[in-house]
Amino acid sequence: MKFYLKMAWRNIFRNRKRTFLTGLIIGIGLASIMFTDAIVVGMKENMIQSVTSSFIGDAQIHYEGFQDSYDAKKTIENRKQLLSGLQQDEAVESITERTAGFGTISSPSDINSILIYGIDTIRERSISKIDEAIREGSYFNPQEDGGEQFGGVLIGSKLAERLEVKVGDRIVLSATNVKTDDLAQNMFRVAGIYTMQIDEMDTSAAFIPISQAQEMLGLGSRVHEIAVSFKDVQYASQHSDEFAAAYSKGGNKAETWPQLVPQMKKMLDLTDFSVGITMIIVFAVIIFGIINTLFMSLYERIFEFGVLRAVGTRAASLRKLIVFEAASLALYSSVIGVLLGTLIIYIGSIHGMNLTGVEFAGATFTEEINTVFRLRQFILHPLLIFLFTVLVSLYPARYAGRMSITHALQKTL
Amino acid sequence: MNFQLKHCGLVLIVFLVGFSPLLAQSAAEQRPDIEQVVNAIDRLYRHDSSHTLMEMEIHTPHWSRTLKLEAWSEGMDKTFIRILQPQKERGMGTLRIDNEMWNYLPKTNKVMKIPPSMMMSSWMGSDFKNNDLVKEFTFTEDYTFEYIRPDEEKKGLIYLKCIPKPGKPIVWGHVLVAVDVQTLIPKWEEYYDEHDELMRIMYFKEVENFDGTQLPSIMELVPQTKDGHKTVLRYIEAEFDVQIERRIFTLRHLRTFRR
Amino acid sequence: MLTLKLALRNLMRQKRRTIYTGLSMLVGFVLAGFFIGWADGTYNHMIDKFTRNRLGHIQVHREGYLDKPSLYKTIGNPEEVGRRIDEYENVESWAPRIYSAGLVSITEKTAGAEIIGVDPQREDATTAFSNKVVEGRYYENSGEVLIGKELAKILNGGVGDEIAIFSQAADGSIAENLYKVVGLFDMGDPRLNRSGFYMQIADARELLVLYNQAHEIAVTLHDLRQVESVTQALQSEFSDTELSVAPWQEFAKEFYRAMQADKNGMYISLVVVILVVAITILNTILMSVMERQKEYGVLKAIGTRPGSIVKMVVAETGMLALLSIVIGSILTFFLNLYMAEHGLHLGSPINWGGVQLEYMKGEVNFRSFFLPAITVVVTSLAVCLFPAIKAARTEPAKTMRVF
Repeated sequence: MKFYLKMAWRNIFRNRKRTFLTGLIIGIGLASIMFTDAIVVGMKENMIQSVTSSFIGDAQIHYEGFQDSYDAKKTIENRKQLLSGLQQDEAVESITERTAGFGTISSPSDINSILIYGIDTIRERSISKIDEAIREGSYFNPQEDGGEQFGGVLIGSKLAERLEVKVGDRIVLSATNVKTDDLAQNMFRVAGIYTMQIDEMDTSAAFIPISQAQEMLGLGSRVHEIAVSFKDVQYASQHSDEFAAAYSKGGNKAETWPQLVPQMKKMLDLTDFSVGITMIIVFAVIIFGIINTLFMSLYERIFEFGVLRAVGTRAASLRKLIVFEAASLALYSSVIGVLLGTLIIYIGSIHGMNLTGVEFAGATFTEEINTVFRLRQFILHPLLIFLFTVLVSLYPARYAGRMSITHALQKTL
Repeated sequence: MNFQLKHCGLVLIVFLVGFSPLLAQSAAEQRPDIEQVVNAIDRLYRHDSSHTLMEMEIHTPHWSRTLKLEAWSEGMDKTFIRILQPQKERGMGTLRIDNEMWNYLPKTNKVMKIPPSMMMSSWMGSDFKNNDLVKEFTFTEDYTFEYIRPDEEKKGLIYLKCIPKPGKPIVWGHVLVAVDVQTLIPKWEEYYDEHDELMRIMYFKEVENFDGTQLPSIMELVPQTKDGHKTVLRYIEAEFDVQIERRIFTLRHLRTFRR
Repeated sequence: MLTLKLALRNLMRQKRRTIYTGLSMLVGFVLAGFFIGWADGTYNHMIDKFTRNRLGHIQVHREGYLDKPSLYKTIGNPEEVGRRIDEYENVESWAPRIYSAGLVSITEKTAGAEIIGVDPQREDATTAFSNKVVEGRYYENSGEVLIGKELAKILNGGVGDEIAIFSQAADGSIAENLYKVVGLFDMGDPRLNRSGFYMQIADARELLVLYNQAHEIAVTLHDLRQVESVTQALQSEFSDTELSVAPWQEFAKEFYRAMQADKNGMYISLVVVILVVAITILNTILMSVMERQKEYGVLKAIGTRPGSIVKMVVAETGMLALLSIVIGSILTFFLNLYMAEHGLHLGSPINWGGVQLEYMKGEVNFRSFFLPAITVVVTSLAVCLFPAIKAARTEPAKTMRVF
């Protein structure tokens, strides 16, 4: 065994140039697969994050059916219990509470129907990117809250355009007060104008501090939505059922982003399918390349094998030698491939692809797409290449074992 | 949508009905007490009850039309409007009690409650805006005011600049009102945004005697942001402080109309 | 000529090597061609499905409608416009629509709604509207409407109920009428499911006083790839009118951008595939040429000029590449044709944005032959040159060594 290994190793390095070439070629193939995997993982993570971190969060809790109608009466049950449960949950990084309801916004020049969100001005920052999306003016300033009699409101840039208002201008929000069924109206000043690149948010939403929203809507301390972010990005997709089971109680419904944004989940599934096909094609090409390389390099050495047989090497030993050579070559190539792959993935993880500003499924790519390292890139892919190479070498090994010595030795040119 | 009509009516009523001649002290060239003037204007909004017949002309770049309306009001919280003409809309009605509002559609014989969140939309392209009306504002309570002397001052008119008090849900930056110094009847009101941009003007014209009350019989609202839009309201008949049957402000009354 | 003959004979002499080398080019070509056909096909299939769902491939409006829709910006005499559209043979179908907004009510509940007037036959032929009815049935008589399934919930109503609508007509009058809900639809679009009120265009015209008018004409073509040319043709057809013609990229901007992002992802994959194919070919040729160093040595020893050797090697490789491309094109053509017609079935259909995606389709297009062909030719020729030149230059004695 050891002998064959040594022999094989020595053989493949006898023709350094050829071995290096073959190794490089298989290596580039392997690196390509690793890179494709890494960029796809990066793209998917980016897509998920762009959905979850713009506003939605990794998960949300509502009263069952609230999202269908935005019926302001459907507030979350057992809010306090829920909050303390979430705060003690190991997986949860941060939470924020919101109210949401249809209403109208009016400026001196126009009126628009919008969704009015009441947000926890401090905790909201840890979940959504509204604060970062402010283009003019500023996010809520907590200190100012007490000072001014009327609060600030954040509105989308497209809405601001439509209403012809700028930062500091007055607008009136109206909504139905749940307690009295009356129309509640309040004056606000535009504190900030944001561009989230999500059409719905930019044209028909407004954000006010949650306390003011609760007062306007007559909600007391009740809320409509709790948005949650997890410590681990993958927690939402992997532990969706656990989360739902833990917090869907008393009429509430807890959902993670795959349920909240099913289009995104579908899109990711579709991406998986496409990537799967792409990978199969790439693998097919690479494996075909390996077959070719192996056959040709062995074929080239038929004379050599003929000599080996002629000096009394048994067919089985020759077969073993050829397989071991292929294995050594595969190992050598894998090392080159992994090194090369690591290098390009590393480069890709620093210099991302710019897709910023592209909106999809209600979310926007907010950052560049970077490649992401995954363990499987270093284990699964090289292993597959290695196994295939060894498998493929069985055929020429068999051939070499069976060929007639005289025929092999004829081959001089 | 439909609510605007009702509100238009409401506005008109409020403006037209409330004026009381008792307050019209003649102060000659001297400016009357500002509180008194503001009060007089505000009185336009205050009347125990009214019953009016009016015409509403709506002009837009695409169409112009005239509606004939009969309206009743009681206090600030009850309004009933019935469309008499044109024939297509004859019998259509609007009832408002407090913040609730219903429309009656005679063709379908249906009463439709207007969702409160939609009370702010515009109806029939008329230029009155609901948010002035859904909540009743008075200059006395919701604005601070002062006399000013504009560059183009006209004889016999006094000018008030009214600024909304902080926190009031009013979109205007300020309102400039021109008032006849003799009668204390407003001539026009100019609504500005906070950048002193004129957004709309309301004209009060042709003072006539209605049921013993001197009132401008025409109110004309001209938005400055929309070309070719104008709404004119003309009072044909009006009586004030009359007893109004309770049944007027009921859904049953809204639903019954003999063509 | 002699070079070609020689090259051909060389190829025939070493059949096994020829087959290996040719096969590597062939497989590379076919896989790359298949990949491109599949990627483009899937991409176009998705766009086609999505646009056919509701929007159409091309839309005609009154100028400025898309930027700022208004009840008054209408297409006069849409039937006549439609007839002119029908003159183009690539046009499959067209459907006129009317848009407005109003309040709708069943029993006590009232909600805001988007009013959409459609021609029952044309809409079904253009966007298969009847397939979206999830409860009840499609239009049969006038006075019947379809509403979104969520809207029905909001209104506490359903199939069989009478629904009142309240809006404003184009002449300023108040529009009101009573209709019968005969079906609920699922457009796949939450907004339309929550607020869509679809009535027959004849009813809508009467309600809104928009006789013989429409706000939009949606056009579908037999082939999505015709969009650009048909759009241009229609633009010049209607250049003397107040109508504007827009392709899907303009009125479905967000979808277009999403598709572009997806396409970027595809480009990365495409580059990887092409790269891998190129490397495989490179490797095979390199090895085959290197293997033949001895042969070149002999040739040189018997006095062949270096130029002739290079020429011969290039001719051999070129012929082989050409042969692979020809066979590969035939294979790719049938493979992609099969994919275009039958496609690859997705385990479970993906329902996305109201579009049911059951298959991943392929496509036969120029790109799927051109790009692989370029890859094969460029890599094979570029690669064979270096060893050939080297061989032509080296000492015969050195290259002829057996071990």
